[in-house]
Parts: sequence; C-alpha cells; structure tokens
Amino acid sequence: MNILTTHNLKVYFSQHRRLVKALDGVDIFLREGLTTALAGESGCGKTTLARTILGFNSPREGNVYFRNTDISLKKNEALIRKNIQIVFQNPFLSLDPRFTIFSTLYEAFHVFHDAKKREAQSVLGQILEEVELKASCLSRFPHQLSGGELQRICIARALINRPSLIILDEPTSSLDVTTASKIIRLLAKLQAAHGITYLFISHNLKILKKISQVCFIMYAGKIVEYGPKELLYHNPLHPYTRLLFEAANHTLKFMPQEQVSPGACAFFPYCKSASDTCKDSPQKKEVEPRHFVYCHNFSR
Amino acid sequence: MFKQLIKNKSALTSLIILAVLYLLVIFAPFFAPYSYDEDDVLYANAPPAKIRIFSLKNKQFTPFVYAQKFTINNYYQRVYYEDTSQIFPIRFFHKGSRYKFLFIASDRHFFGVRNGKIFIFGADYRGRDLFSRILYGGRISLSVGIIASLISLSFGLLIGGIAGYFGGKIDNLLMRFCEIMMITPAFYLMLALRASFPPSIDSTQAYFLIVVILSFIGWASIARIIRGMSLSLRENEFVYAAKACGLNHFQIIMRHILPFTFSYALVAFVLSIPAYIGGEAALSLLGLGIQEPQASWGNLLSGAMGIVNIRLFPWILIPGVFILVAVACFYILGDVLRDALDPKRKIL
Repeated sequence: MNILTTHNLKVYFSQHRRLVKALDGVDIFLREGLTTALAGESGCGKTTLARTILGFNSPREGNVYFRNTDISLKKNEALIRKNIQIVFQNPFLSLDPRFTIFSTLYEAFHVFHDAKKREAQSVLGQILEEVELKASCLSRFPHQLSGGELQRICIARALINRPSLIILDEPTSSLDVTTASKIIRLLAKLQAAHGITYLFISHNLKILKKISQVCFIMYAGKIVEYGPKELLYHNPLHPYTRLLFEAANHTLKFMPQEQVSPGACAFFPYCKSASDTCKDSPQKKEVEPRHFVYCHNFSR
Repeated sequence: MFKQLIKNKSALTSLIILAVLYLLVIFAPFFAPYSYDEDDVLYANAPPAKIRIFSLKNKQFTPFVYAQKFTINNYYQRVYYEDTSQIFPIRFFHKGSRYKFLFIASDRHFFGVRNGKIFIFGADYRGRDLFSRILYGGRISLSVGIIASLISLSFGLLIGGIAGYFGGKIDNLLMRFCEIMMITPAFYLMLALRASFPPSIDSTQAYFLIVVILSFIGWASIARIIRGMSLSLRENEFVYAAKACGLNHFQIIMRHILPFTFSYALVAFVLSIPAYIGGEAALSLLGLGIQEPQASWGNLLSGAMGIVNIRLFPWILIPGVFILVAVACFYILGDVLRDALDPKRKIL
C-alpha cells in the first residue's frame, strides 16, 4: 500500500531570469511502514522534493497524494501537518536557540493537543525516553546539548504528534559515524514500534543500504532509477547510478548539473554510453521485476 | 548589555540625567512649587529669582530669596528689582496648593516660600512659574517620545515581519507603501496629518493626536530593516520545523522571527525617541500640538519665537535647554547601546 505518491511533480525556480527546473516530473511512491531511500548528489532536488511534499513549495504542475488525498491543494494543509513530519540535516539550526527543549517540544505538542504545560510535562518526558534521552533534558537549551542529542530532540519533535510519515532529510550528515549509526538504530527501533514510514534522503549510500527497503536515484530533478534495494545495489542499471556507486568507493569526477534541452535525458552530456536517441526523453523500463530505469540503453 | 552601559561613562551620565528628569517629571506635582496654570499678574515676566545662601544683615542663615518688586520704566515696561527688606526663606516640604497625584491627595511640595512667590527659572507673561511649567510640560514631552516610539516600533516590527516572512506580492506591496512614507518629508507629513484634524481640540485629544501622528512617521524605516532581517530569518531550519509542526504564520512570526530582531529593535527604539521629542516640540511650537494652558516643552518655547522676547526675557529659552539635554542623552544612550549590541564589536 502506498502512503504517499507524487505524480509528474514539477517545481521550477527562477534565478536571475533563468528557469531552474528543481523538480522535473518526479513520480515516487512510498510504501507504508517501509523506509524509502532517495539518493542523489547535492542540488539534484532531493530537499526540494521533501519541501514540496511538506507544502513549503507549491508545484507548478503535478500532485502529491497522501492516501489518495491531494495534499498539494492548500485546503488539505492540515492533513500534512498532522501526518507528515520532517527531521532536518543540521540539528544545531533546526532548534530555536532561545527556546528550552521543553518549550520547543511543547510548542509542537500544543498544536494538536490542548494541554496545559504541567499536563504536557509527563508526555514530553515519555517522548524523550522514547528517543533515549533523559527527561531532565527538558529544561536545557539547545546549546547545552551535543549534536547527537539535538538530533534526537528533533526526532522527538517530529514524533510527538504521532505522524504516519517522517521525512528524514540527511539526518546523519552532520553527525560523526558512531552517533550516526546510533541514530539509524534508533530510527529503525521507532519504525518497528510505531510502524512509521520513512523517506530517507541522503547521499550516503552505505547508510541508505543499511536502513532502506526501496531506493530512488535522482539526477537533475528527475528520477533516473528505482527499485527494491537488493536489486538496485546488486545491479545498478542507469549509467548515473553506476557512477554514483563507483564514486562511493573512489573519487567523484566533477560533473555540473546542466540544463539540457527540454525532453533530452538529463544525464546525456556526461553519459559514456550516450547515443543520438538520448536527445529524446527516456521512458520508464522495467528491466527486472520491480526494478525500473529511465534510460534508452534499456528501452531500446 | 546593561553592564556595558554602566561601564561607559557618557552612557552612565546620560542614564542618570534621564533618570533624574523622569523622576522630576513623574512627580511633577511634588517637585513643582506651583501648578502649571497658577498665574499671578504681579509677577508677569519676572526674571529667575536669585537664591541666596545666607544674609548677615537679616540674620538669615538658610537659603532664601528676596521679594521681587517692579517699577514701570519710560517705555511702560516693568523693571523688576529685589526688595532686600523682605526675605522669603526657602522651606522644604512646604505646604502649598493642593494636588492629586495618582490616588494620593497632598499639599506638600518639595520646596516653596510662605507669603510670597519663588520663581527659580523666572515667570512667563502671565506670571506663571516657568520651573513648574517645565516639569508639567516634561510629562508630555518625555512621554510622547516613548509612547510614539513604542507604537511606531511595534508597527514597524509587525509590517516588516509580515513583509519579510511572506515575501512575494505582500512584501512588494508593503515595501512600496513604506517607501512612499519614507520619501515624504517627515515634517510636511506631520503638518498634513495635523491639518486633517480640527484645529482646536482639547489637550488630551491633542496629546493622543500627536502620539499617533509621530508614530505614523517613523515606522517605515524600521519596517524596512526588520523586513530584511525577517527575510533571512525565515530561511532558518527551525522556522521550517515550526511550520512543519503546524504552527500558524502569526505564531511563527511572533515566536521565531521577531525575537531575533530584538537588539536592533531596542537600539531603534532608543534612537527614535529623541526624534519624536523633537517632533512634538516642533508641532507644539507652531501651536498645532499641546494647547495653552497645558504646557509642553515645545509650546513653552513658543513664547521665545520673537526676538524681542528673547532679548527682554532670555529665561524663556530654558525649556529649550531641557529638550537639548533630553535629546542628547537619548542619542548617546542609543549610540552606546548600538555598540554594545553589535555582535561584530564584542571586544574592547
């Protein structure tokens, strides 16, 4: 069952009179209760997708469906707030430095629960225990806590109104390796306990391999390949995906993401196996069961 | 922040001066020997009384003043002289005219004389004590600045916060409106606003009118700067997090954006007070503000508009000195505050 699907999602920004296609027809789906990975290099539109799902950007075209309700419409915003939460990359920036942890959590809690501060105390304490923090953290300010602790607070804040989907926008990128793996373990534990769906955005392929079940690879505002994790990691099909996996082990060559002529495959200028047909838009092709790729090399 | 203020000598001095001024003005009925409208034709345009410490001749060893008498000269003008045969010892906590302050009715004044009059700053053309009128007038002049500044600041914060937070069309619309406000010369705007109300209104109405007019002028420049700040503040991840949590726009602006503009707002607040004090003085000087017999520093100065008056009765310029001192103190305070709150200049 899909908890969230996007249909032909297009988000354009105008920068210095140039149209930047941040999202150029993105179709993704998130399976309920599973972790979906979204990988791609910086600037490929991962975060824009997350923000569009949350309603911070309005799409120029296309729709976002949450359980068959179109949440790209303004009137359904309440549904997003109740059901979809986000954890950001940098925990130091995602908590208001002037607020104690209690105020931060209470603020989020208060939106859907008309509880007095004293009544909320125990609930907030429980939430902190759930993310493996002590309840005494409530009276602290963000600057008194470490990065890992702050990220746990952010997860607690996302968790507090019991959403069904949490978007994790590179939640471990600003943490060290051990802290990151602890956070990953915590996230897995919470998923098992509450059946939350994750959209895990990252460029760290190792972490994605550890936590995800379904994988989407994004390049220049487009999905280039997706499929179950095992298939995709075992047999990457798209030239870009292959390059990405190679880069994870070696060094990545510099590749600016250029705007190509409309309709052409976005990766066409850098693709080794490109041919004249790549000037047309590639169609989705199911190469092996449930493993799709947008590439002419396979649709031929 | 407060420590840095205390450390700075000029800031400390102005803080003390302002504190004294406000104290005098708030407790004006007590510190002033007379009420603001108590007149005595026998003392019209009387010069400031010279305070003597002691007199061997009269065996007087506490401060006192001589009685002021006048003769008429060839131009039918009064010429005041001191009648050394009649002395009025200055009495502290003197029983004088009754007044009501807040809920306390009393007749104690800080100082006064029995059976005579004491004008330490001289008297005006109707024989009203200038010192008393300055204290009462200060109530208006010194409060108008703060209240108008508060109003225009909250207006500026709100408009700037909204414009910066929402951006786009709302921002464009609000900022163009601000620019229109800013390009209009402040003084003409003030006069135009004043002209849109009936010319003769009572003092309370005039007071509120002045507050509104003054606060209408300064908000635009504050709003512009706040807008710039909130434009960059809204990109903070904690603002997005608050949005994702479902807080409404108003809550986000009030809780996560405007508090970060506090240090700027505080400086803008202190620095805009003197401008408003000046504005009130200018309006009242032209007779468009506070009306007689009510006093304000501006309309006290209106007596000094003619060169003849200044030559004959130079003491009517004293309210100007008070304006000067108050304005200077606020500017110094604001300046030091700005340096203290500037994050780039932490050292020193």
